[in-house]
Amino acid sequence: MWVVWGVALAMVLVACSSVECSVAGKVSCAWKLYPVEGDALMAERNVSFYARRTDASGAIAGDTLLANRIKTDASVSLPMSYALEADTMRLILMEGDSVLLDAVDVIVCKDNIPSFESVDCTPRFMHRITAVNLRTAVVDGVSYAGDFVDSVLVTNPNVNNYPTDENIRINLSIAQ
Amino acid sequence: MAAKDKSDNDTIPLFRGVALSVDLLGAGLAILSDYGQYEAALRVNLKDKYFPVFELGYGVGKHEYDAVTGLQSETKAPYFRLGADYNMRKDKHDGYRLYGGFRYAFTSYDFNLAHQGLADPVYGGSAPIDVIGERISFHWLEGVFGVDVPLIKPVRLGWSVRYRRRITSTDHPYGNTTWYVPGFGTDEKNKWSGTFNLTLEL
Repeated sequence: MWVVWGVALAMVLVACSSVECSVAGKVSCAWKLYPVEGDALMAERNVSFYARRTDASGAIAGDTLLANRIKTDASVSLPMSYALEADTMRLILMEGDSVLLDAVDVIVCKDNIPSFESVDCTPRFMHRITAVNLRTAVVDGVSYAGDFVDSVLVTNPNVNNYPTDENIRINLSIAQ
Repeated sequence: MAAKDKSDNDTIPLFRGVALSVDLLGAGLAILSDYGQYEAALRVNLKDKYFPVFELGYGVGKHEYDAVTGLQSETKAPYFRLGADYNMRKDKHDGYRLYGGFRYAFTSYDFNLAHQGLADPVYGGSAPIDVIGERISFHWLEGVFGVDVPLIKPVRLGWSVRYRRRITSTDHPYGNTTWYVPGFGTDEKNKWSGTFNLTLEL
């Protein structure tokens, strides 16, 4: 009788199978803007974030708008590329809806780490930011100095699916 | 009377034999599913009461190309467990045994993971994954409860239910590298496993 119960128990043990993929699957990098305190002019402006897309050869193939006209003291969580060694994020400073004041490209160098949960779950890519640099942006043939950004700092290099307030800090200059 | 009982106890030799067993459940899983293990155990009988056990096995986990996730994963490695069982029955010398025991277990395996290319919806392009031969050491403990009954002398049949807990393992950045751990099984969140043993008393 014990054997019978044992077989039954064993069958139950092997029969129970489920697929449980984590719901906290979004990996995003938190960017936070810091205007100079009391800068009323900058407070009226807004910043848009564009990811620079690449084609199969790795060349820039256009922009994707990721965050549109956010306030100059706001933070925003944006995706990073899965495989590129460096992402190019274009920040455009606007006044109102249509007046482009300035632009700058932020180059985010990073290591990409595949993260595995189960063979039943789509893998993710975590990232570790190794450096950030500023580069002149050319928009519609016009080159912009990017003076509205004073400096860029990496405050938390680990980009993963754990919520964080800030990975990259953008210190803004006093509005001209 | 008390003197007679003491005399009876003293007549039981310490060494009562050894038994060799195989786990049919693990082998069945290895043949019929993505993972499983081929395992044999050597059990020493001390006074029909204490049973030091050494379990040696070879675990295989192979997930071919997944049509949904596009992942492939493969792991295979030997493992061992060392521990002891205690016969909890009042009549220790009856052929029917009720075991409670523990195991310490260890394996060292290579984790392999491949994906042809995950399409990047924002930045474009695709990101292949090719993790090969990441060596991982894994230590764990098991609490064992089982039964063992004589079938046809010298053959016995039994099963065990095991509660397992990881002690420590190599830290890696690749997330859940314990999808399949040889000897431990899949999914560390599931703490339970079992064996179905065919035993030959030597």
